[in-house]
Amino acid sequence: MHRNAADVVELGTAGLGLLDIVEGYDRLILVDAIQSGAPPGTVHELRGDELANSANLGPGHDADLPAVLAFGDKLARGRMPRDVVVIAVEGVDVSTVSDRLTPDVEAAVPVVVRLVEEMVGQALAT
Amino acid sequence: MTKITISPMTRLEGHGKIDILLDSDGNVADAYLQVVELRGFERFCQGRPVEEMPRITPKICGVCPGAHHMAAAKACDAVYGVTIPPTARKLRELYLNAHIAHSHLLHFFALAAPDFLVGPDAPKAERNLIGLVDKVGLDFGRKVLENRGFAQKIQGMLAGHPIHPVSALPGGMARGITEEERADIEIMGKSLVGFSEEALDLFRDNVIGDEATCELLESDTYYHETYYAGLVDEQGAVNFYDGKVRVVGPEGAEKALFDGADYLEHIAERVEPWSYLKIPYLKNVGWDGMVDGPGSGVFRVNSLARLNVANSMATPKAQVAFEELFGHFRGKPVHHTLAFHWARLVECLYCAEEVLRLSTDSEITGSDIRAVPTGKPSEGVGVVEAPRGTLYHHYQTDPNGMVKSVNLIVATVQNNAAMNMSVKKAAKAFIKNGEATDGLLDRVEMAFRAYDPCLACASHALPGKMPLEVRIHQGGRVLDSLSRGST
Repeated sequence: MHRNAADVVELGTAGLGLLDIVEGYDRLILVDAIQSGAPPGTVHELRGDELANSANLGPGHDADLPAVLAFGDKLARGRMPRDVVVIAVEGVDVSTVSDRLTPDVEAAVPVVVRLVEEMVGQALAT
Repeated sequence: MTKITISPMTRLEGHGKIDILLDSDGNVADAYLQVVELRGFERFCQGRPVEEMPRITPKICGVCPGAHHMAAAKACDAVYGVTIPPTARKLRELYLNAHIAHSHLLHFFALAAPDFLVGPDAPKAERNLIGLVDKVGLDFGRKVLENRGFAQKIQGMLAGHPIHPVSALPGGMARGITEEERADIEIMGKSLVGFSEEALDLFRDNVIGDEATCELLESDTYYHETYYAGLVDEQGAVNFYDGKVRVVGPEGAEKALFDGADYLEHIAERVEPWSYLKIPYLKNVGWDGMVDGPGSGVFRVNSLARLNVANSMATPKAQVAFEELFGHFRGKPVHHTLAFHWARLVECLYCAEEVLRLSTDSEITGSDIRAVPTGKPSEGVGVVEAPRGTLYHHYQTDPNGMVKSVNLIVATVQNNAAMNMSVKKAAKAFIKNGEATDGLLDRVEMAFRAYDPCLACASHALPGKMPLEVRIHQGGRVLDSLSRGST
């Protein structure tokens, strides 16, 4: 279903809908916000057991990310991405409605962009 | 006194916490569900063109954007006093029914079914979708995924994007559907009907047909005699898109039947010092605390409430399923909280039948999809049934159509009192002598999971990432704080 070496998709929430999109790709990079208690704007890079152990990766009306990935593995028979990483920016205030980022989170945006570009670049080079 | 907090609760949208207070013997004295309030939503909307509301309000929650899209569009129609063309109405109904089917399938299979089919005493690592697939088989798992995807795809086709809908406008829709798209929706509608029937078969075999699970379903622990509210059409059948709000009492008699625009005459909101969330109650019954019975204005919304207030379902297969549910409990209304799950599957079948019916309607591919508003904008109320219950959007604008005030009453807020009652009753039943194992706490969580609460939405929050905490307190200190997502 994908046409390019790397595709960017805005998904909204990473529940079962993720499986409509990721099947057949080698690598998956998810970019999201998180609240873990770290300083605002901290850029987290979560893989493997860190994903399985996180309580902060699930939309509440849907299966959480580790369950979605495990479900995909069961159904897709090897067609799920073998390398999954979550890049999550530590949020400051998720209780006030705004269409602007707080300065700490806004400052993290170019860091995340650079990180994703490096990851994609490395993946395409191998 | 001891206080129990489960932290974090992983199967609930938004962020909040449950505090369970134990007495000196370790038994439950009280329990509260608390939600952190979202700030600034009304201020965010003020001064913006009202026609932006159908695009802004879906951002409140990534889980039920479709319901907000519809309620906002209907409120905008009312603000401008415009009647939308028949094809536009049918497109909106098709969209909303696909939205409800998607939400119900997701909730049942990802969140509810593990409690029933895998069981609350199973290791929590298995009490999820994976454990469910181990139980029902991979082929069924594939069908869950496929049909959930169909319901999502239909929403995307009709609204421009499945999560960020844009096509409903004041006066109608921005685009219609082609014959090719219609035929595609018809195929998906047929699949959804078949799968919804299979889901009901699964429930019949594994919940009603299993003695221990059926005892849970019928347990007095998950039982409250309350009022119920929901939209019904002119025949008194369940309708998600339009109709009047009907309220029935604990004995089943009609207490009120009103236009959504008159909601302030019927629903009052109470503020409690321990909760950020307001507590709506029936104004004409009055507030008597969070208690059962005809003298208490506590009411419930969501799937079972809709079935309780309705005379029937408007589609044939769902009508049979409706009769089976009430036949099992020997009458209406049904007060068993876990039956919300069963009712959700009955509604899913209805929505699937509606998707199929509307996809074959001769007007559905019509090109007359918008009546451009010409009236002077002022004030309007839009009401739909969201997956979790009745959703009210109320806007006031200046003469140029710029938003002056916004009031939303979302479903989870309406269930606030009942959810607190349910959590307290379950906590009292299951937590004894200070013992709160994971399996016991899961039984407490089941009490509010039946309401499919959306705390992000309830607090007018943009999608939150912080799960609910449940803490156990005794003697002024936190005795236990279970980290349910961090095994």
